[in-house]
Amino acid sequence: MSARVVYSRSPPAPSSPPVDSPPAPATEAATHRVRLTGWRIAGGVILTALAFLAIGYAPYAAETYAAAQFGVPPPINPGFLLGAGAIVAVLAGASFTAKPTRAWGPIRIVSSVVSLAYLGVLLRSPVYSLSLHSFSFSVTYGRILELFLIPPIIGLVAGIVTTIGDYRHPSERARIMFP
Amino acid sequence: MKPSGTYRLGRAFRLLASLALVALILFLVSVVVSAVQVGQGVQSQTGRTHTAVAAQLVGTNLEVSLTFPITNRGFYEIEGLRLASQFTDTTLQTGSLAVAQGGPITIPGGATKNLTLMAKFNLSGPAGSYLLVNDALIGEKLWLNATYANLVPVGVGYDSSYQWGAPLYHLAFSLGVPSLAGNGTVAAPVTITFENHAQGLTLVGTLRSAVVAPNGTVCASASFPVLAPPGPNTLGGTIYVLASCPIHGDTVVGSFLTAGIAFPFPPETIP
Repeated sequence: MSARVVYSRSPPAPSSPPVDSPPAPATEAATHRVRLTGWRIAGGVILTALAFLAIGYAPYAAETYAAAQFGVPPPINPGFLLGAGAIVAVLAGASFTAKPTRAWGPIRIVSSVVSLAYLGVLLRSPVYSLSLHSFSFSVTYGRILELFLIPPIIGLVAGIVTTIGDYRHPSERARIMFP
Repeated sequence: MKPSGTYRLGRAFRLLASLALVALILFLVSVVVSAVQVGQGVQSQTGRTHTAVAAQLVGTNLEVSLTFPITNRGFYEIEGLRLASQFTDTTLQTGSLAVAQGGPITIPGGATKNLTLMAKFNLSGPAGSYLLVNDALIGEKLWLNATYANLVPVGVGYDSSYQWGAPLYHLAFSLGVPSLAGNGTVAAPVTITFENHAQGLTLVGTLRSAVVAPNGTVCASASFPVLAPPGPNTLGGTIYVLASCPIHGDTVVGSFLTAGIAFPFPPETIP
């Protein structure tokens, strides 16, 4: 499967060239076949699944297990973990899949903003406490979550800069990104 | 064709974001692996630590220090490790019997450091006297706080209780028929009974006692050597009381002296 993308500021070629002129060669800068096929889509799906397992299902399973086994009230709504984790994972996979296209910048911006919002909600409950009979345990993971704010912040900047670049130079990116 | 500066900048940020994410994931995995190693090290150390115990009397407080080694088997440091413990008498509800504190210490990865836990017991307080002659249920609360890898503050709490066996359980003085002893005194046979409920501990020391009249006059004083195995014990002797003292209605006060430390017992009125 391939998508045909045309990036060119030159006027469209006349539908019927003059008889005595040679046919215009198709330049690489004007027309490219984007490799959105095969491995990139598969990679996006795999990334979505892995990201969902890591940031959606794993915390959901840990919370529900602790609640069922030890009666620990979940600090964050398990449904939110599952739903928001799925959205963040799908956006991460979409971002990977759309990397060679102009859609990457806006998708990356949305993905980063959603990721930051997800982490922001998690940061509202940065302590996990477990009490079991006469034993109690608490771990504060706020600082780790704060560290994980760094990649989406940088990713947000990358998305904005790339989107601006694509807007300002609509014909340039094709040669580099769609070899 | 050379890409535009905006595009190259965007590509650099994209690469930086990916590298940051990979580095963070690797760091997180290493923290978890290291934390598991620390946990395994603590489990293998439990019950096999060589503890140094020292006790000294400072004023009316008995200060007991326990020193034990802690090994950090992980590769990140444990920072600000603090250990605190509080002992309470759940029978009398007299509040805190003693507070013990240790640390803070920092243990680098792969290193062993000693943590000294210092406990202060107030011997002159009502709880100290009560525990000398009464059994009780002692509650203990233990707290441990530390920051792992300079990133993850961890807190552990543990509640437990111990049955306290009083070494001079139901301490009682009884006087026999007094007889004139000259020098303005009367000699009275005294019988001291108690049960040593301290498990496996033979009580060795001296029982110092004084008979005090209601007006505050010290009518007599005597010391009795104590060598009391666990179980019921009876001590006997003679006490010389000022003839001007009424004896009956006087109060016996005193303390149990062992290893240079005096443990006062509650005053007892002679019937």
